[in-house]
Order: sequence, then structure tokens, then C-alpha cells
Amino acid sequence: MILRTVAQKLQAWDKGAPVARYETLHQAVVPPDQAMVVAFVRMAGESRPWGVAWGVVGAEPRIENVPDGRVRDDVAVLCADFAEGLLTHMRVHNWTYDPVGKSAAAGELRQIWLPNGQHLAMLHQLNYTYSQTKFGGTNQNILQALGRLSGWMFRDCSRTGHQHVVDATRALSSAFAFPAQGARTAHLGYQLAWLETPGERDSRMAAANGAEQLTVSPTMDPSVEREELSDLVESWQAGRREGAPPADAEVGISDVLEEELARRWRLTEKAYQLLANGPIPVNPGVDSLIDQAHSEFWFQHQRIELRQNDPSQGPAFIAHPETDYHGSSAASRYLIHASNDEGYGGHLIHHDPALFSESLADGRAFVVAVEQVANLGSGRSTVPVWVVVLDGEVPNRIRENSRLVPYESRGHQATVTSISVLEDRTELQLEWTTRKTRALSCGIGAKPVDDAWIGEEVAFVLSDAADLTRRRSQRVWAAKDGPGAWLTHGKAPAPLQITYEDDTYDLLVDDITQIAGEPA
Amino acid sequence: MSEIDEVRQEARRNTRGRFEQWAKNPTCAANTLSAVHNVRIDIAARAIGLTPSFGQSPFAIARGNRFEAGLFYDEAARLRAALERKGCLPEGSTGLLDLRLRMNGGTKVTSVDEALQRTEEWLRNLASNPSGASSIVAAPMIKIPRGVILPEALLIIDVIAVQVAEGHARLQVGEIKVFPDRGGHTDPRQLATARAQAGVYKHALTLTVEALGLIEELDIVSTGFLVFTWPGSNSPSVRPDEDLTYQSIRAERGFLRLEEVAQLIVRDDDFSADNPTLIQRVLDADTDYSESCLSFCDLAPRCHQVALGADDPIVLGAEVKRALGNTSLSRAIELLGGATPADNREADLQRQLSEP
Repeated sequence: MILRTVAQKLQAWDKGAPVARYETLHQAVVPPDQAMVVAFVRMAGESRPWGVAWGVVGAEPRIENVPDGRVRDDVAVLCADFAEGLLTHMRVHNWTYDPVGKSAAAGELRQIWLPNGQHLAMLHQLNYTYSQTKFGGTNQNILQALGRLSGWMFRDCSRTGHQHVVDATRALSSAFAFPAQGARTAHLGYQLAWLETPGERDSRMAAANGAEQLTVSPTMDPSVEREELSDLVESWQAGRREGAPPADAEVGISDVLEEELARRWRLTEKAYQLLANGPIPVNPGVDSLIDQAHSEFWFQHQRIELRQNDPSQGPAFIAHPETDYHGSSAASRYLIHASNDEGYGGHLIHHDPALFSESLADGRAFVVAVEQVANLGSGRSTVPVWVVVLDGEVPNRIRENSRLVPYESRGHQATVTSISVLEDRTELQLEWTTRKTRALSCGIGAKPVDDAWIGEEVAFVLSDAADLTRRRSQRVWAAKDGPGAWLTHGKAPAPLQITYEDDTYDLLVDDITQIAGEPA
Repeated sequence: MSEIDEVRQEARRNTRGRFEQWAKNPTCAANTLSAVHNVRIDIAARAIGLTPSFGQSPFAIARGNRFEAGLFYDEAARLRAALERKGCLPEGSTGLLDLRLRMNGGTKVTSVDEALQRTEEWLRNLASNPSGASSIVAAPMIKIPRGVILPEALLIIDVIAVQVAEGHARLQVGEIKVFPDRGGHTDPRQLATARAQAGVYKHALTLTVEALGLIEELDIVSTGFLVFTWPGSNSPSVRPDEDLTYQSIRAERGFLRLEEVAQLIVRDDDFSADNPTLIQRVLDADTDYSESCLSFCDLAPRCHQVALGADDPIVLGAEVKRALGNTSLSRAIELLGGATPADNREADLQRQLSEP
């Protein structure tokens, strides 16, 4: 895998431009009006945003900021504005007339596109700041809703195959191999300059070097803060202390921040357009990932929002921004993530020859020659069995009882019942277990029991146990008296009190207290 | 010239920063010389017309100062509460010894020499009479003995928590950082940096206590604590019981290695040289460009250009460099395109690169 990356980088260097890593995109790219681009800036050292730009692709973004990112009340008003746009876009219960339902179609997916992982971390900061805030006055509810949604989006991004939030830099890195160092391709502007600049390698490289000088992170270049903003903020603060903050300072600050935000927003929009209108098609297997994503959104966020306003629907479990503080939930979520991780490749590989080649090199896929076909079933039952031969030199991870899926025929499955390692080859006996009477959609397209397969070469991919892991995630909840109950059903720690500089405080209420329905 | 001297003087004090800079690329002679002679790389970069890109925001500095001032305000009430909650201090602990320089927010100590002297006094008093000692010590300053990092090395430890048990003082170093503690989602690089710095403190404190002959009386705990902020607030978030054993060993080995490397490349006349001469020495020194240079060195663009000119695979990253070894980029591309390998090594490389 590493050498494949090295070879691709060399090809890209030779070509003088990035090359596609795979033949398909492994990420959904929704229509422009369903893709909202969001970019943040914050004051260095602060967690809250100083300004936010948001808007769907193809439309002018709304860009809002405050004169000083340290003034909590001003930032809360800014975030409430942003929350309205975000909650509506994501069709969250209580904040739209058209909330996403439990069984949403693939075409209903809404996405948030962010410039890079630092902006994604800002969602976590919003989660910390607002999900259980006691501030905000009339905006308190919407701020809490923003905190909860941000928290869900941030957490969901650690789930393999997530689809609602797209880190544009990562999406481009997944799609293309760049002729540059990995540390540099973590910069969205740098990536886009390599991809979009016409001409030879030198001109692209020069453009990328230039683009790299402008920061994309929410924290701005220190020189911008030092030379363009510091005096303005100081003057605004001085005026504010005397009750009359100077309007010209406010305008000056806003101009700088708008420019910074607009640049980040435009870069991200460009990344979207490049992927949406580029030559690499979206992998058809992504539809299954979208189904998973809808399910996650419903069970981990939407249903909870519903319960927030209607307790008769059940207790609202609100995850703590830091960790679960809840053993059963943690165990269940772990298994869901493990299940998604195990199953991810299986959804995509059958539609992407490059991904299949990668698996061949890893030994997770292989090509065999069929030597014998038999039906061991009796009466009306059919039990197709194949004896196949694998080149002994080829790497493989096959074990007895491994389950195999024929390449490009997802749904069919065979189990390895015996392995004989001979001098120059490996002989496998396979017993078909799923769709055994239906024709395969690969190779000659015959049924598994058909003798016509003899002499044919068939490619297989190792199957996963994602479904089994998913079932285990549900059983954790009922394991109150099981062997791991001390861990999964243990007592939660005490609530934490966070004191602010003005001696006011927030209480971070743990979720077990909330489930038990005790007053906060 | 005088400005450069001032900058160098300031950097001379920053032993920890110099050490960490060196540790980021210990095989680069220019980096080593810069660390040993306190020649800031951004100044060297400016000298050859490069624009330095690493710097600090005034807001970040102000936030850091404000956070630290808040921690030590009112007998360090806020920090004390957090330390007590996490078991770094017992309930009802008392006393703050503030050794911060006035220029750093302290109230009494006016000079580096005074800070050094008062820190030494504090350690001696603590060894002879630990009862009644202040439980929190802000910014003690120590001079590392044995000439580590020529010609001198000063360290200001952010904070030390003192507990007394059975007539014995137990010292635990703490590192204060303004960045937000987001539980398991905290930036791992920031965590690693904070731990590494706390390890340097622990090692340096041990050296100092040994040099003062107090190692029997004072117990330097192998664990430390990290003080971060709660996201969106100035409240401290303390991470207790951070095992600093290996970070301390790293610091010890690093200081020794730096010393060895410095002996090889530092010239006798360097210590009497003026700043422009030293800057030129840094600029003329051999370099060993790597991907990590991009994260801290303002001379990296120059080294990148040199690597491009030399057809060095490092321009495609450390992974490519490791895979290709001494093979040039052009040759690797020829091999990828099917050129006849000149030897077994090239044949092996070609086979590996051509795998699916």
C-alpha cells in the first residue's frame, strides 16, 4: 500500500500534476443546493469563532463576524445566526418544517463542507461551548441545539464511511496523489493550486507555493493579527470601555475578517466543484454508506432532538462533548464504529478496480482458477462446492472458515472449508452459502453449481463480519448482568462545574443524570 | 546589530525552546548550530531574503498571559482548586511562592539573577524545613549545571506543586498551556509537546537538586501534571499523573547528544564571534532537509530548492525518500517506466513499484 502511494507520487511528479488515486470517489457529493460550505476564523488562543461564513454552493455566502472574538455575548449572537442556517440546512427536528425522517432516501442527504480538520475541530468547540450552556437569553435554545448538532457532526466524522460532513482537504487527498510532501498537501489552497493551475509542473508548483502562504486554518496568520487587526481591536475595546466603541474600528475589523472568511469559503467551494464536476465518478457503493449515515443521523441526533421537545417519546440522551460518561453507550458506539469500519471496503471495492488492485497487493483479494464444481446437496437442496487453485506466490490472508465474496458479485458468498498448501500452489475448497442458486454477476454469469465455471478464473474478496459486530452493539445494552457489566453499566462520575472569568459558571450535566430524569 | 544582540540574549534564556527546536531535526548541522548559539532561524532566514512564516499572534500572547495570571491570582485559588480536585494537592492546601519575574506578571522578582538565587534558597529551605512550605511555586528558575547547551542554560519551570509527607518534600512539575483540553480529542501533537516540555523540566530540576546536594531530602516525583484550558473558558483543566519517566530520559539523552554534536561542529572561535558571523555560520552549515522542517524552520524553502536541484526524492516526502533511498527521482521514474535496472537493488525497487 505504501509502495503504491510512492509509485503514484512518482507518476504525479512525472506528469507534473496530481493523479487520481482510485477510479471512483469514496464519498458522496450531493447537488449544490444540498451542500453547505462553512468556514470559521477565530482569534488566536480562543476557542469560539470570531467570524463564520456559510452558504450553499453556487450562492453568495453569508459572512458574519464580531469586533472581538473574546466577547462572549457578541459571539453568542453570531452563533445563533449561524445556527439558524445550519439547523435548517440539516433539516433538524424543531428547527424546520421539513425534518429528515427515519427512512430518508439517498437523494435527501445534506452535507456540510469544511476547509480542513481544524474547522472540523471548531464544531467540537461549539459543542463544548453551547450544548449545555445556561447563557444566551432568548438564544439559549438555539445555541444548545447548535451545540448538540455540532457535537454529533464532529463525533460522526470519526465513523468510517460518514457522509454528512466533508473535510475538503481530506476529500482531495483521498481522491488524488499529489507530487509533493504529505505535510504540504494538508493545505487546501496548495492542493487546489496543483489541481487547477494550467501548464507544466514548474508553474503548478510555483502557484502551489504561493497559495500555501495564505492560511486556511481558522486561526489566521499571526502577521495578519499583529499588523492588521491588533490596533483595531485595541481601539474598539478602548471605545467599548468608555461606552462608545468606534464604528470605524468595527468596520476595519469586519473588512479583514470578511476577506479571510471569504477566501476560506471560496477555496472549499472550489474543492466541492472540482470533485462534483471532475472526471472521477462517485462509487455506486456509496449509496449503502448514505443509508448508514441516515440511520446514524436519525438514531444519534434527530430522534434525540424530537425527544428534547416531546419527553413522551422517551428520554433524550445527550452525549457529553468530551466522552460518553456512560459505559453501555460507549461500548455500543465502539461496536457500531467497528462494524462500519469492517464493512466499509466491502461496499466500495466491487465498483473500483483500483481499490481491488490495492486489496490484491494486501492479500485481501485474489484470483483463483476453478478446477472442480460439485453439488453436495441432496434432494431439492443445492450445496455448490468448488475446488479452486491459487498461485502459491501470491500473498493472501485466507484462513479456514474465511468467507469470500466474488468480485463484482456482492451478495454471493462462499466459505473456505479446507486449505491445502502444495509446493507451488494453494488448493481451496469453497462451499457456497449465500445466493447459491442464483447466477453470479461476474465472469461468465452462470450459477455457482454450473460446470461451465471449470477452467475459469474468478476473483474473490475477503468478506467482513460487519453485520455480526452491529448485532453485538445492540446486545451490549441488555448485558446488565453479563461479564462486562462492571464496565458497561458502571456509575457515571459527578457533574463538572466550569467557571468563567466573570465568576459565572456552567454545569456540565452528565448524561446518566439526564436519562434518570433528575433535575439538572 | 544591537537589536540582533537583544534577540539573541532573549533566546539564550530560552533553553527549552532551543532544545525542542534541535530535537525536531537533530541531524541538521544548521539546526544544531542555531540551537547551540541561540541564533534564531527566522533571523537567519531574513538575512537571505526569506520571509519568516512562524511567529506569534499578539492575541495568543495576551490570552496566554491572561490565563497564567488568572491561575496565580489570589494565592493561585483557581489553579489550587483544580489541582486539589485532581489529587495533585491535598484538600485545604495553602501558600503560593511567586518567583515570576515582574516582566512576566510577578510582583517581587526583578531580575534573572534574583530569580535564580531565590529558587536556590527555596530549594535549600524546603530540604531543611519542609513543614509550612508553600504548596504552589510559580515559575522557579534554574540554571542547568555541567554546561549543557553551551555556554549556559536557564529554565523557567511553569509551576511546581509541593506536598509534604512524613517530613519529606515531594515536588511535582507542571506545564501550563493555553490550548483547550478536549478530552480524548485534544490535539495529540499539542499533548506530546506539553509532555515533552514537562519532561525537560523534570530532568532539569533533578539535575539542579543533585548539584545542590539535596537529592536525599527532596523527592522529585516521576509524574507531572499538565494545565490546559476548558474550551471557551479561562478555567484550568488539569491532567494529573502524567508519567514523565521516558520524557525525562529523552531530555537527558537529548541534552547529552546535543552536547556531543555541538562539540563536533562548533568552532572554538564561535563563542567570541559576533551575531552576523554566527548567522553566516548557520547559513553555511550542512543541512539535512526533512518533512518535519516544514513545521518549524524558516530556512526550509531554501533547503527545498536545494533538494529540487539535487533531484532528491525528499521533495515528495519522507515516505518516498525511505522507499527510494539514494535513488534519484529521475531514475526512479525511469525504472517505473520500464528502464533496465542497473543492479539488483534497482531491480528490486522496480518490482516493488510495479506491483498493483
